Amino acid sequence: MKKLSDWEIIESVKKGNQSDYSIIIDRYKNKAFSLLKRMLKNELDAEEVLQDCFVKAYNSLSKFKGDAKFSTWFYRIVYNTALTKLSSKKRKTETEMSSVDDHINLKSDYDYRVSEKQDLSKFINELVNSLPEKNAAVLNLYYINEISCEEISKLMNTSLSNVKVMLHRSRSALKDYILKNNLVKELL
Amino acid sequence: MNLLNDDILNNYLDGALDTKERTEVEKILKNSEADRKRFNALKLVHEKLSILKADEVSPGFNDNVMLRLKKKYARAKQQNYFIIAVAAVFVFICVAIVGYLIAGIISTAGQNESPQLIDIVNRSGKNIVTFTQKLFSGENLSIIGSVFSFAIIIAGYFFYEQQKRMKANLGR
Repeated sequence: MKKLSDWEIIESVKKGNQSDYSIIIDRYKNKAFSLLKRMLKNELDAEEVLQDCFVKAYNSLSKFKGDAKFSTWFYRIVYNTALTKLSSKKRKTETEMSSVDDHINLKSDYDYRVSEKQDLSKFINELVNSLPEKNAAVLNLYYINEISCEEISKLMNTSLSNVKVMLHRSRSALKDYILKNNLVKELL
Repeated sequence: MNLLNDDILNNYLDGALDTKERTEVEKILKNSEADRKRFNALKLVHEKLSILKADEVSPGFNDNVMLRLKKKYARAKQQNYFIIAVAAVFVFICVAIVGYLIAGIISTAGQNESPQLIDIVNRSGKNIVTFTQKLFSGENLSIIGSVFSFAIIIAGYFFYEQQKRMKANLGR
């Protein structure tokens, strides 16, 4: 069966086929959930905010003209909603996240059992989760959501060089952590 | 000693260096064990991140979102009907008053062949006063009171619902 493009589905939803919106939900829910989980550091909040994002996107579908990719447009909604949620929780998001010069400190007391090979992806996941919100968001958008640095800069409303610096610093922080804890062999 | 900084290693990994820089980095990586170790660790991080899978939302997530959308649009429809009903009643009252006035003017004009405009206005004014007095006296008053009370109860319900929704939205 032919896979419908996002644009085709949106056109159908706009024509009144509300149930077609569930195809869009299916397509983006898990990747957007990952992004929110990493930014909000809380699974329940992430799922609640994600529901809000889908409702928000549905209400704004008439504003989506197809100039940008639907994914970029939708992830921008997700990212901005996460920032609003963070600021409403009065977390120090700006001081923690905005400066790319901040040094990233990963928790050094992470109790990783070398024998737990099956938990390798969980371990990497937890390392990414322990990054500051914006850095974790960049890694998530780049690796899981498979969005280019240019698109990330657009949706985060920042410069391309800032995105690259954040990406490099996040990777380097993870690299430093695994070197410091002699985890290279375990991860191979 | 590290000859290559993290930025260069990251750019090399991303393929963002030109040929000359790339050759130089490769030469250093070949000779410097410390740099090679750092680069291998960085490459490993990149590989592990590349195979990360997205987390999964709880089952029934789609249904919850679709239910929220359906509820929201059903409520909006209901509110639209209410607004239309209120507007229709208002328009009906206005039309009735205007009709009553016109009827009064026509009947007065019929009685007098050359009525003075001031007389017509005066008579119409008196008619309106009489009509209003009749409307708010005796049995009519209780009917009008009941209609208004009913309208206030319905409006109150919608106002309460709106406040509840607004509070819920603020809490999100």
